[in-house]
Amino acid sequence: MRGDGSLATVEAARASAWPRHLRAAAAGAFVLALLLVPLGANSFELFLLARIAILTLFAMGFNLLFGHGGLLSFGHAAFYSAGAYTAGFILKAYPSLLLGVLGGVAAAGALGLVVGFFSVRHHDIYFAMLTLAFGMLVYSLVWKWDAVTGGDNGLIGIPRAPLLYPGPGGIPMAPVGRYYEFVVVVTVLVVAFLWRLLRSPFGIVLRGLRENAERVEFAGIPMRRYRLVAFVLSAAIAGIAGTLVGPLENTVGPETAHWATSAEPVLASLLGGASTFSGPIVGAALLVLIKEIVERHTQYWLLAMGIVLVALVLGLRGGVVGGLAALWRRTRAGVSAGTAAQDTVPAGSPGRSP
Amino acid sequence: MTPLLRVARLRKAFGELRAVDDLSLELLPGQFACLIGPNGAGKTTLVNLLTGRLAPDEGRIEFEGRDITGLAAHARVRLGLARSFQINSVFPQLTVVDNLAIPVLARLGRSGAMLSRIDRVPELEREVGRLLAEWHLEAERARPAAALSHGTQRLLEIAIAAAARPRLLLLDEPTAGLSPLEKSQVLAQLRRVAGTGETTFVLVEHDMDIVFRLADRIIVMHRGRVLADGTPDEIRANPAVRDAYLGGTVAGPTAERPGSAPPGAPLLTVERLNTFYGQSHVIQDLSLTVRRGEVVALLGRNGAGKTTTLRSVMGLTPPRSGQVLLGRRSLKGLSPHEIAQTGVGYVPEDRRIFRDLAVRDNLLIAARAVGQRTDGDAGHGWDLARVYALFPDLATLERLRGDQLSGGQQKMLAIGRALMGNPQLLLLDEPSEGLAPAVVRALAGVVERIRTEGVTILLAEQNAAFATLLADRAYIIENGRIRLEASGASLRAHPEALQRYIAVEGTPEAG
Amino acid sequence: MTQTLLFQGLVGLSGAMSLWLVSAGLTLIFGVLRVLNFAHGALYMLGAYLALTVVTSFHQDFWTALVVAALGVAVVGVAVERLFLRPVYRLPVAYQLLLTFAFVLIFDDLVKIVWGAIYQVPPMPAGLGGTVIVLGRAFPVYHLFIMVAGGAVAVGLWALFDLSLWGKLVRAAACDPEMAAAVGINVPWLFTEVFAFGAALAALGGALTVPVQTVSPGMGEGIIIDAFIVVVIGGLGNLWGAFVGALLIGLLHAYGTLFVPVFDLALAFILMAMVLIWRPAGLFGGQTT
Repeated sequence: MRGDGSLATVEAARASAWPRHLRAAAAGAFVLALLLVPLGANSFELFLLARIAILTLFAMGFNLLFGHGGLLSFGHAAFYSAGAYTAGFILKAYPSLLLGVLGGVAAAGALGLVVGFFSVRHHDIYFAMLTLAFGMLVYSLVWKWDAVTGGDNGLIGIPRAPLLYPGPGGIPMAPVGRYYEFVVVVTVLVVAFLWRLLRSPFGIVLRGLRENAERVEFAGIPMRRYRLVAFVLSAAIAGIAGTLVGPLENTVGPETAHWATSAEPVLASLLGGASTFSGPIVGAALLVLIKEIVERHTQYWLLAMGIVLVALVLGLRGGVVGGLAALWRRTRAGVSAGTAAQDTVPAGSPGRSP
Repeated sequence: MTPLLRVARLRKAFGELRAVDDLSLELLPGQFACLIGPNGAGKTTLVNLLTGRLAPDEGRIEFEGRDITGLAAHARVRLGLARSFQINSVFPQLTVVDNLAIPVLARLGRSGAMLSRIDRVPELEREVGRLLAEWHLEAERARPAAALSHGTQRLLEIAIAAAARPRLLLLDEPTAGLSPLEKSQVLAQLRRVAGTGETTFVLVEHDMDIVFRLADRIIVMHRGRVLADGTPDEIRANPAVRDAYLGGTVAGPTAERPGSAPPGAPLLTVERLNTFYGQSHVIQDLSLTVRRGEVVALLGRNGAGKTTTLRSVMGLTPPRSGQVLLGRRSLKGLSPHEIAQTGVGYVPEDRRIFRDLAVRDNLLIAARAVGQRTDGDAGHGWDLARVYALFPDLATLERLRGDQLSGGQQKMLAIGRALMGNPQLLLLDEPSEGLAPAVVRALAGVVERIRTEGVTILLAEQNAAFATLLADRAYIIENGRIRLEASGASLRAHPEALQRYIAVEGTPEAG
Repeated sequence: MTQTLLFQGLVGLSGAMSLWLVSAGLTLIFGVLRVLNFAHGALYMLGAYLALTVVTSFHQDFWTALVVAALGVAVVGVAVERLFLRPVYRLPVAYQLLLTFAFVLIFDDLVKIVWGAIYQVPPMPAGLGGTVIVLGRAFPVYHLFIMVAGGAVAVGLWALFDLSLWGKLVRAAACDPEMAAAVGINVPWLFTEVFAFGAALAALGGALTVPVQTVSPGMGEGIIIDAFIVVVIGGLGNLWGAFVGALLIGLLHAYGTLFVPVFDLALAFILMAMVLIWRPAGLFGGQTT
């Protein structure tokens, strides 16, 4: 997966048309399979898959900034929560799912603009600290401002509203299977957008910012403005994830803004592999499943998460996908006698910026 | 002709140090200028000011008649003022092609496009292809920059800067760490680009062969100012330049050195030392010996490997292979604090005073830190009183903080601090650098006194006059290898023997 | 009205002092190790729980509890630094942050496992209960005690770093670790000592709040955010800045709860944002210790 989106690999893919078409066909088949799941799954399984999709979105939004842009945010729950609450308000006032999602995304993006404005002028430690602090500010507001947010109880009774408008022709979404398909469609659209984005000029510049922000500036690109754009995009995608939670669970609580929520996309990205495109997807699936299993046996989910995080930082910084890719390269190198081994570079290092 | 660049009364200070001091300069389009000067002359600071990496304290910078003093770095690049960096500043995990795509996209004004595919940006592929061919990077196009050799990374470093197709290109030591073959590749390419007349060049360079071969104008900086400015012939004939590089004539304590003790047993033995910075093989199979009671000089130009040799001995840049012995004890694998406790004192080139500690505390913590010498040797009994006797200035300044001292005073303090650890061996890295001639004379007296008090000294210097005056023996180092070993007396008698390694001129036949 | 304001100021000062203890350790560790310890709030919480256990389960007096809490958490600090932090000093900053963040999660749950999630109500140490009349109102004696303790720690830290040799070694290592090693200082071991010392300060801050605050698993979260704001305002790595920052935030909270109870945390953020725009490195940034 290394080198995804590089000009060189895109060129190479174009030169031999087969792999690219094969890839597209495989992706299409996978999406089709996801959409057909409701035919054979019970509602618990659908809930679980929807949660995986939502965390996938959240993690991919976060990882746009972290794995690709080199900025580690500890406050992404703020945008997730802003999306969730805004969509909740809208859905309770006027039941239109599309309106709720769009409103939530706009709110999360606007919040991202404000937080980003203060945060992107700093990097590394200050950046992490500021995003965490802003995140906790949002948490305290959500939690304390009873009159608007419902305080501790949160917003309850959020409907799985029709897609467009109430009444005939509005495309009802109430059945879990139907809503699950909506979540899948949104997720696929966002993932496709990111796939394209990371292969665009902006995507390469973004990875340049991760590798060496100063050199980007000296290539003639206003690096702070680019970071801010990336920050807003990342916040908006986290916001999309947030908007999908309320209608699924029928409720949104202040814990959506808590830093334990901010930790989930961090963990999903690292678990899957932050420097790869598919890492957050794999990580989100693993994380939701592990959580499901751990919580059956113990209530100490955070402890498990912490231990996994320590292990990832100390031992497996490339994540599952990164690790598998390295293994694959090693096997291949074994076959073609060593030449490929020279291509191995020290494991990806997001967060590295001067 | 209107100047391409006009710099008026530029100033930049870092605390006490006036790195660029009231400097004015004009550059005409089409010139190929080299900026030279001893270490610490302010060359890199000047480049940083011109390109917007640093903001000046005072002064004005005009580019093509336009005031750019307050302009952001990226905006200067867009106007046509680009640079490369002294230390490779590439995008390590990106492929060579992507490294080049970033500046090309910026120049094409397409760097912000989010939805167009990278391989469909018009012009991009052609332009990147052109750069790959020009800078001999075609074979490496799909490899990550981090996997390239140092020399190839260096080419990429310059190519990224050139990708902006600037009107003015500032290259900060473009050939640093390159092999002769790579150097000639870079130079050939620079000459080719210069031939098109599109780009005006300013090179910061230490390799005098290159400077005198390539430049049609040489600007010599010294202590933040322009010391000399002219054609290569004018510079070669300029006595002030010769002094700045060779340290002029230093009238030492005495012409003949008193009491040259009979050489003792080897105190420091370095055998086949190899040291790397990342991919860069800086010290190559270096061997040298310092006997008890000697002053030995390690002479060479900037970048020859002097500092790295001392750092390897001190354990700060551990060597990859080779042997370092102090007396009979191997220093290999010891950490720097253990090496200090074994009896090695280190005075770094840039002094590195603990700036928020008082002078007195700087000295006391060094004494305390090596409190129990692990070899059981009581050392030479240095204490505050003896250091103050050696440097009377420090006694009067003892309550001041390290950063309130002048450069010369900091140098004294750094030497005093090293002595407080009771070293058997003192490593002195360019003690004379950046000091006024009178201070250099005083320093020569100090080094001589330290030697007579029983401390063995290994001295790294590019100031040949200063070093040969003091040294019993000297090693000449070039490109990380020892080229010559000579006695101090023979070098004092025949200073011209050093010309080839130290002097400002390029070797005549090299052009 | 004036009396109310003055009185609330006193409340704010006593709040500022426990914040100061946590921020002092945080900024000290950053100043020397260049690692921002997200788990510092968790160490504060650990100190509170240890003190509580010493008092309620082992029936020792409060002073013993303070000492045990500080020493116990210092030992935890030694273990965390040597086993986990040391391998990541060479990695990108993001991984250092992630590692200390992992310990926030771990300690939060460990505390729940060992002490249970029940909110503990601790006893008041003898002689520090009751109130005195200040400005015509009843003011808890214990708050006065915390103010004195915070002031004493400030004086103690000043003496430690300005007068003692250990303090000077630490300052030298903070200033230039490589050069410090080259003059013979055992820098890795000094790093361990500093981390343990900072952890002990946090634990002391936690233990001191035990008699007046319910001890609960989430108690580290609020204080670490405040401490972040304090060190950002004061300038990362600057002890004196942390002291001033803690006073500012303590007072701001006290008046905030008086005038705009819902948004009191927001006030601190607005202050932080203003400081960052005006002086990006904090009020005392760019200076050391």
